[in-house]
Amino acid sequence: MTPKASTVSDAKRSVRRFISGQRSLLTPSILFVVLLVIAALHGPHLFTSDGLAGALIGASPLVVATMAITPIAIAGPAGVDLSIGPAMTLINIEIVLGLTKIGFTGPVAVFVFAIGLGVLLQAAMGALIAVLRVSTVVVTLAVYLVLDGLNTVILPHAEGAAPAWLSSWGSASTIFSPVLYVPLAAFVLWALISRTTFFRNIRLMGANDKTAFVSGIPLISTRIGAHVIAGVFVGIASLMYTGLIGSADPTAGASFTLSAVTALVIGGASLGGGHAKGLGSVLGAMDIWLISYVLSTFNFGLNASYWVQFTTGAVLVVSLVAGGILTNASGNRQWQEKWLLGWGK
Amino acid sequence: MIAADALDTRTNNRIVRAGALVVQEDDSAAVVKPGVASTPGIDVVAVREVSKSFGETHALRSCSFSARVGEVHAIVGENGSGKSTLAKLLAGVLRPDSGSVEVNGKRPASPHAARQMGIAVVFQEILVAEGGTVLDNLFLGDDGLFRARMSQRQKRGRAQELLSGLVASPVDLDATLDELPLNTRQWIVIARALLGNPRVVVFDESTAALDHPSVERFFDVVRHLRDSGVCVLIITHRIHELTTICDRATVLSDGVDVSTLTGAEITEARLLELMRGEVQPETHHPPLLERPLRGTRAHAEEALVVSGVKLTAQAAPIDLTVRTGEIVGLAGLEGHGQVEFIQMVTGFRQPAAGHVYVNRNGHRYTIDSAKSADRAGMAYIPGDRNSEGLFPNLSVFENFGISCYRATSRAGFINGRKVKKMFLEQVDDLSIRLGRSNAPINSLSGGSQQKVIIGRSLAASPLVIALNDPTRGVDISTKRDLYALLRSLAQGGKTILFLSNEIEEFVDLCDRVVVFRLQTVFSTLPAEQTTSDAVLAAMFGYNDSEGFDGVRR
Amino acid sequence: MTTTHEGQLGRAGRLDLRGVMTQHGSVAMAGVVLVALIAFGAFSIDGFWSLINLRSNLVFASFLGVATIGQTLCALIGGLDLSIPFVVGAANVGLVKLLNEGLPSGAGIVVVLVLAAAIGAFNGGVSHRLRGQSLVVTLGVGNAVLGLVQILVSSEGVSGISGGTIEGNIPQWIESLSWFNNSLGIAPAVILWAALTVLTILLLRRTWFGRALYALGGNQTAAERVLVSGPWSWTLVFSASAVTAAVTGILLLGYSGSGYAGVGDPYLFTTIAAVLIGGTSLVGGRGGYGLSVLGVFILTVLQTILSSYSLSSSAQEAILGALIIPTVALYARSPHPRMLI
Repeated sequence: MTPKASTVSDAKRSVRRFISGQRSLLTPSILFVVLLVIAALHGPHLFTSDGLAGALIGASPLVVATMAITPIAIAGPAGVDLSIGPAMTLINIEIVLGLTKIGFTGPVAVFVFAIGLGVLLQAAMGALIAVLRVSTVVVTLAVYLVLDGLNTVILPHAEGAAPAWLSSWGSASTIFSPVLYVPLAAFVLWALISRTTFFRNIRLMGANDKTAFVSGIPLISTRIGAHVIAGVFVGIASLMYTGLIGSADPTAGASFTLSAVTALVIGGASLGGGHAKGLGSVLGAMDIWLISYVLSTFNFGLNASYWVQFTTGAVLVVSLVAGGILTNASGNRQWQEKWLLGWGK
Repeated sequence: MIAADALDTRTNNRIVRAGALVVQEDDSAAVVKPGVASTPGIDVVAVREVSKSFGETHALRSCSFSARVGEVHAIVGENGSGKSTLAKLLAGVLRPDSGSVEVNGKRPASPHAARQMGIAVVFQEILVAEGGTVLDNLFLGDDGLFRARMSQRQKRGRAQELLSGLVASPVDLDATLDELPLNTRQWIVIARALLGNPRVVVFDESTAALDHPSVERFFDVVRHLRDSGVCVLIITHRIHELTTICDRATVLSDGVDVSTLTGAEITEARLLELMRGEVQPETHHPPLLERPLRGTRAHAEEALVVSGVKLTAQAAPIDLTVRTGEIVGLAGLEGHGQVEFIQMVTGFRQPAAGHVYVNRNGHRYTIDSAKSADRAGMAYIPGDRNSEGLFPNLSVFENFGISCYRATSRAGFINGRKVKKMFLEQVDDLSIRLGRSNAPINSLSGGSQQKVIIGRSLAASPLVIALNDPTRGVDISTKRDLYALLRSLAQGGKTILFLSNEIEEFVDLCDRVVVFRLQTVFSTLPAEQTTSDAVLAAMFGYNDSEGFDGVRR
Repeated sequence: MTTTHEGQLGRAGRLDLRGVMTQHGSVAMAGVVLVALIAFGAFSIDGFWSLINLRSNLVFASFLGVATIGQTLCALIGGLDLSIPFVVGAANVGLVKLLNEGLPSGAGIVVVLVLAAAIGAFNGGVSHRLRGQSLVVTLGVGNAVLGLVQILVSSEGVSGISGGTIEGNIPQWIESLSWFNNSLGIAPAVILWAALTVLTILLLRRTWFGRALYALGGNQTAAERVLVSGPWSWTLVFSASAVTAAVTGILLLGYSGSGYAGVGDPYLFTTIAAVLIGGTSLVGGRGGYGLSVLGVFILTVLQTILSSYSLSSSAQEAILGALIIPTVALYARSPHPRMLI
């Protein structure tokens, strides 16, 4: 029988391992603290009850949206979902226009619809990607274009009114409201899902699909499952977003995709597959929201949106470059196989 | 030892019908007993006339064999004989084009189905999820859809139990795989296979990544499995190890089963003989070319100098000097460093220590990158032409021309006439059979494709030519052309490094054969001593081929 | 790398139908489609053959064509440039600002092009370094660039951006680039496109660099074995892409007379669609600019037809975006992991 190591060094080792496992959370956490400090100095309103409520409803669509694209990044390879923005916008439009037109405006109906549509879209994409074995990022780009165009065709300009109970979220002044409960529920849901063996299989498939395959993990259904999970969160995110703006806006898709992808990258997701943490995505999304909040305290006036666009783009690039510098220099040779298969995009 | 009754050892084994059991002890008469295939002696694996091709490559051609409960059955053959394909068929990873693969009467249609059927396969490639923990990797694929089959505690218990029997030092179940050495990873893969108490276990070259004490333990495991009634298939080309452990051995050659040996018949000599097949040794030799007299090369210059090169930080340093006109062969069991060595010599990999340089016109050119290698006059013919050499989207001509476009260009524009001339020269020199030069490259046979790649390197008039397994997947007449070419190039003053997995190629072609073992040079055989047996012996770590007769020291 | 010959299907594998079609086949098919579309347009749309319609189609085709040069080059080495729409907009708006600041037009154009080249070089270099993740990199860079330019261009004064547009004094010679009323009878923009087309095709077919791009797109490892430099190629290609995008932005400025940051938006899906329709593979190594020119024409006529059916630009975006999927389904599938063990 092998001798067991002493419990003290065992404990030390597991602590050390835990810490190094959280390495990817370092960047988003530091950024979070820095931004909070700047916010405290420049826009202390954030720390009032009103401000916090505003922050919650303001940030939660992006937070949940980033959680949505996380399983797809985990499932790898090159699992960047560019369609997230227009998909959320589509659901947003349909809630405000479609559902109200046919009269289903109760919370249950709206929830079911939002999540259902999100799952449908994602499942279709996931099936295409999994069965045809085509590049995730290219397919999501195609869906991005389709939905972006579709959204503007359905609704050329922002208009409409969300159901009253939903738009009241946008003007919430206390944090003890659905503005808190819904994201909390999303976190709980994530916590539950990420502990299932199915989710672990998604991770293992993303880490090495050959190994997953020979071990009997069904690649197609695991990938589609990852997309279905994403779809649930897309629906919830879209719901929060509708609550935030109280109407429908067909043009929000592009900037949302940029923000969500940037949040994902800041959060430490490896675009190669297998490594991404829910907590990292949440932190990354909060960072992005904090950036736009901090920028808003600077009174850029008409330039506000330009500043947000610039900063988000710059942060994405800096995070990518920083992440690239941290990986080994000879990584180029190893990606050739995957690159050859057209997955490098 | 259990022997099969009425088995035809020449070709296809007859499959014992399900329900009947043939047990024969020491050549006595057979006794027939009904029973399920868990009683020793019954066939559990039945491979019948299986064929599998990949494009032009025929990996298996009407191959048949069977294996029994409670036996260790070796599948032996050279590279390309189809062994690994067989493993993949058994694992449910691939399906046969024709014929059938059955285990206990059922066909493994997918990896999951194979697992359910009690088949476990340990592949040549060590398949692990690097970012996952040891525990995760062990139970990969074991859990149900949403919930684990066993609780964490149960899993840990089982994992400890399994690993302690396999690995010498305790393994931290929460360590991630990228922290662990290759040896341990191999054990984890083996442990994963044994987790579900399989009825059939296939080990494909599993000892390649294990160090010596591990190999001993491995064979203990194999014996234990056999004694518990598991059918163990060991795919390998380390024949010498098997003679002490396997009950039967089936030899594959070129995709077909050649013979199945039993018991005392299993000797290295017999196995080697069967592996080499019907081909006469003479056909490997170029006809009529005289070997240059040793004397004329005694004063040849040093062309390539390898000094203090270490393949890994822990490996012993390598020193090698090759003179102009020499053909040096590089040999070794798979994974023992010869491929890394040739990559370092040609500048495509950095050594952990040491230098490589080429002497040219009195100048010393250091090689530490692809570019410096090119400048030094070093040419590299890569091993896997599909992934490293050919451009599938370009024509035959362009596959050649791409390497000389820049050097011959005028103001950036391609000098078509000059390149064409160089192309036709090489086509002529190498006797490349081609149709239209602007036909796509995959219209050529493997051998012709290889010649195009060689031709494009030769067009740059290199001083040193390093070839990594150039005759893999190449037909026999092209092989002969190639040997003749190498000899004439050497005669013309070029220096040649020739890595090969077909040991026969070294004989009468190389002035020396450098044999690699455990990431460093084990021994160097001069031409006079280069025989297949001697090289093989050296590959397994024996200096003296006489001591290499199947008896382990 | 010791892989068995069993596991390696050539990159085309048996899943890529493109291997069946030769270059000539692609040209023929594109040509047939174009003729069919023109015929359809001529029959169903009044005024299709009118000089005005033909001229405006030609001018728009040349705008798209110039921008597609970059996208084609990127696709050939296996990447995509999502920053094109942003660079188009940034050049468009940036040049107006420079002109408003008093810079002579020639100098202003040079500045814009040099900056674009630098941006593109950054795109290419970083993308290559990050294992070919060009889509995400160019998305970030594009947004950052446009955001920054809009910040720099706008100011409290009248000459700043409002609602995304910026007014300025555009020299007539720039405006006249899209006019047909000159001694040649053809708008200079079209001539410019024609010249660039010839240059690009020459580059891709007859120079060592062009062929190196095909090699890189076909087999990166083998390309580096024959000393094709991955980093340099990616840098130069994406740099060229940004420059051609900037040129498009400048041409558009002349056409509309005022700067608009969103003027480049349609160029995301149209450049990709033109490349795809023409037959250049998104995986790399196959296709060429001649094919993209055909793709540009097909797209332009298609857009005219779709517009006549009151299908807005957004609807066209949706339809063409959807086209990407069957295209990759046919030409860009990867082998199953079982073949790679």
